[in-house]
Amino acid sequence: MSLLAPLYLLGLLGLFLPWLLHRFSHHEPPEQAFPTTRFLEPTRPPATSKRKLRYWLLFLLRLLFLALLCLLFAQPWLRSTNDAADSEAVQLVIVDNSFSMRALNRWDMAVEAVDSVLAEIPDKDAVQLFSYAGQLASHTDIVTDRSLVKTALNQIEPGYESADFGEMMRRLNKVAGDIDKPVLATFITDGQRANLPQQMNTLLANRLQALNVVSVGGDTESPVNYSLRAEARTENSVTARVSVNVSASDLASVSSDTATQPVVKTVQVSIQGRVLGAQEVSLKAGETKTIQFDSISLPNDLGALVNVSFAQTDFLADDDQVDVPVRGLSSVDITLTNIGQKPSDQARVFISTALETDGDARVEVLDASAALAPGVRHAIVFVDNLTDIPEEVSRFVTAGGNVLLLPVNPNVSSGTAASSASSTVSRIDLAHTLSLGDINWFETHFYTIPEMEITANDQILMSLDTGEPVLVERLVGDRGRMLLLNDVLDGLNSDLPLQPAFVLLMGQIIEYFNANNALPIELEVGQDLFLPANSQLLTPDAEPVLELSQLGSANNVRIDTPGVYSVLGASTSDTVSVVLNSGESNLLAMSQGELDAWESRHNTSTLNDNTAANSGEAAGEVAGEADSEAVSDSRTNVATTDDMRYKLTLWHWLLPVVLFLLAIETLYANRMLWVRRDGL
Amino acid sequence: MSAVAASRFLKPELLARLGSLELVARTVVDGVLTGLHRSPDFGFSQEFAEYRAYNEGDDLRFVDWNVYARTDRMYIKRFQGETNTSVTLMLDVSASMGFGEPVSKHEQARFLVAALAYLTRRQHDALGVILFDDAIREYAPPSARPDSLPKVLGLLEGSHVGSSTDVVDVLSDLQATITKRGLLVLVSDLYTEPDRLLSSLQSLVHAGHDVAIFHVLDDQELAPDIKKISALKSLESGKSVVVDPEYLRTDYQTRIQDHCEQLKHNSAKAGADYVRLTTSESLDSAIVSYLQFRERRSR
Repeated sequence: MSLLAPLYLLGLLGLFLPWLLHRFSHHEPPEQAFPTTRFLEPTRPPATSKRKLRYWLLFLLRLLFLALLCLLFAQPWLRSTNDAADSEAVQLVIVDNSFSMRALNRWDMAVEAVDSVLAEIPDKDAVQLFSYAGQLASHTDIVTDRSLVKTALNQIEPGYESADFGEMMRRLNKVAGDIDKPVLATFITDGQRANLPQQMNTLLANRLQALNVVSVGGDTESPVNYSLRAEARTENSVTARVSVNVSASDLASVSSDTATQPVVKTVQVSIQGRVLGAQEVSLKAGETKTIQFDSISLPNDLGALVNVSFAQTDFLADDDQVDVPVRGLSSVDITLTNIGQKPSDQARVFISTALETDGDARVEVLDASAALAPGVRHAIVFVDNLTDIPEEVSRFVTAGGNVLLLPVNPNVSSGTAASSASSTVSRIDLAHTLSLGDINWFETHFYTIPEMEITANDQILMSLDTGEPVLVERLVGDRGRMLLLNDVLDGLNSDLPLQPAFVLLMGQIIEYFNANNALPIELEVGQDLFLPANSQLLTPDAEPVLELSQLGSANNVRIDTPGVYSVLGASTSDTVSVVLNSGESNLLAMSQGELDAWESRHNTSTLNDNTAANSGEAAGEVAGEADSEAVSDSRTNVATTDDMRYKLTLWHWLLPVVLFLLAIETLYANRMLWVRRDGL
Repeated sequence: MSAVAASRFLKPELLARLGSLELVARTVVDGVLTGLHRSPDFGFSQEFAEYRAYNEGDDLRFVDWNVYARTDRMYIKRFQGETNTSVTLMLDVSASMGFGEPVSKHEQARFLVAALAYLTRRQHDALGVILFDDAIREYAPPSARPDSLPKVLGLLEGSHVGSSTDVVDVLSDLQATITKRGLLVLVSDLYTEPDRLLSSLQSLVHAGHDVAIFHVLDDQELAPDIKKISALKSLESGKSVVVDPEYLRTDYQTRIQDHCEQLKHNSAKAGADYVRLTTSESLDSAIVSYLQFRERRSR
């Protein structure tokens, strides 16, 4: 154990303080009641002859407390048992295992490069191996044993995720900040240009002493990679339309023949192994084209996937074919019901018409128990009035359903209402995602607004110039949504259902509802999929992803393999296509000059120091030599000055002990307070 | 009284838990009387006790003339002790009586006075009580009425220790207050000058009173168990004196024993009965002493 500030140990002199306190403190003798003093003679207590240490436990407690306090200020630390403690520097070796590393023999080259990097690292340096593809994953501790690194390297495989060099450097910088040794990094990558960040300055990790980028992708013979993405939709469940995006990656040299001459690729569509269509498309490097397959006959099994692929795969086969689910156009089912009185026939017609005008919604009229059954996502419910909302509606929303409530009773007879003065919409909550401000409410008049009670959980989204609310969102739980539209929709008490605004309003409401619990149709590899509670995710091979114990709550699942995943809910089933990042298919690599510039940003300070030290020499000569020696020089210097820095500080453990002792001392002393007045 | 019989009597700390002074008094007195082979409380009552041969000096009023007519011998009739003696119990309630653990001198003295009061009424004597410290605080004149006992017990129940004490002045005042001769029972810790007390007692005895003194002390004031130098604060004056425990073990104990001896001597000299009682002792010995004192007085 060593001390960072040993001078604080002088505070141990303060240990005399409790010794004096316990030995020489003078106090009045304890007072006791006595019947009379007539037979007593006053006595002077002896001065020091009987002075001795009293209350040993308290005394020792105080000594221990003061000693630990001094030790705490002296900042003790232990040399870490980690290999890094005995090493001069720590070398971080990061190997890029993003999707593009699957191309050609890049991964094999990367493994060889790691081997040669390990061979060049001085024996005194410790090594830690990382892989990076969306996440910086550590595969070893900081070790000096190279065989451990090689063993770990053999267990790494290129994945499907994409890389972001800026994000990687940010995380690398954090790792370097946790190591109290000079940290040097070597990054083995194909140097994809597509992986460069938007902000180039994020490529600088200032806690790294040096960065060495070893490129395994800058080969001049890098051919053009072709990839495709597709989607399939059907309107009638009999035939499907398949749209395919075909891309050719860029080339570094646009003057080459491959760049100027188009290449013809054959794209074919198949279902369950049967080819149902094929088209040819000619592409030049860097070009993207879209082709469509109309009227692909669908099998009876609507769950079958459509496979789109090139007839002949290239050197990166994983992005040459894709499975896509067939998606229908009408995907939103809405139930319509009433609890209590029946609504007017006009109201039902107005709502059904408005919703189905959109085309993506399908309205089904059911009784209340079926309309609000578990598994139903969206419901429109007519209730007697909006003041007393039935309990089953609240339960439905709490369970995750979305509901639009409408009153049946206008509270004023329609005949008289129609002749009364009209009100118009005057206040709209523009910040709400319903985007009510985009709708023209100018021609919409309200003659009678039913009474409704606004509670603390209500957010008024739209109200009239008379102040009465028209559209309110009520917070019920945190899973479903409840909207209250304060109009009977009979066309007499207001002309809302007769206006185009009503169709737009219903469309916005359904879109708002659908956004609440809709799953994404498509995700990129490496992104998180949010799964609501009681949902299971099945891989393309139909393997469940979540454990049984995880199903009770919502989960975020990171998906690292492309394919069509199934999400099984309580009574629903959805598919999510997980696709490759299109940038990863573009294999265009950074030039050596760009890589050098990246490296040199981490060696600038060292170069400057050397340049300054050798100011008398020729600048060109210095620059050439310093480039190769600068890293090792700076490493040596920093290693010497920071030799003691790789430490395990102990204050984390000492501080609670000191506080505990203080608490015990206080309790003990308070309990024995009379001791302090007692003196001897 | 045998040691086995003595063990029946409750210790003061147990008496303190009985709650009611009347219960304490009954427990103590009945216990004492049950343990005696023969009631010693002869006196003036309607219940015949025995005949005794006439001795010179006996009151001729008690000669049974019928027996003398038949036998030509003079016998004195003796009756179970109903008397018309006036008994005044004096309880010191000065601050110093509050000393003592677990039973204070004041509590022990109250138990004793209550027992004596009960015994007095059992003998149908007139019962009175005086509570005093440096002056008379409560005074119930002797009365033979049936309610005299509850009245006395009520005063005792409500008593609490007061200020400093001056028993000599109180006794002097008493001479002017009590004109009828009778029995005076003084229960106090007697922190006063023995010589002054002697003169007061002599005045009372000369006035025809019989005086019995119960000197109540605590063990801690006879032999204090103090192991370190302490400031002892007087309960009466409030004055503190820093005292060496060595002194308390030696000189102090000699002084207080001398004080007690001198009190005893002066009491005897004045013709008063003196009994010392500590707070740790049961009350039976004090009651028996009292009964013996009554017996001596009745002769």
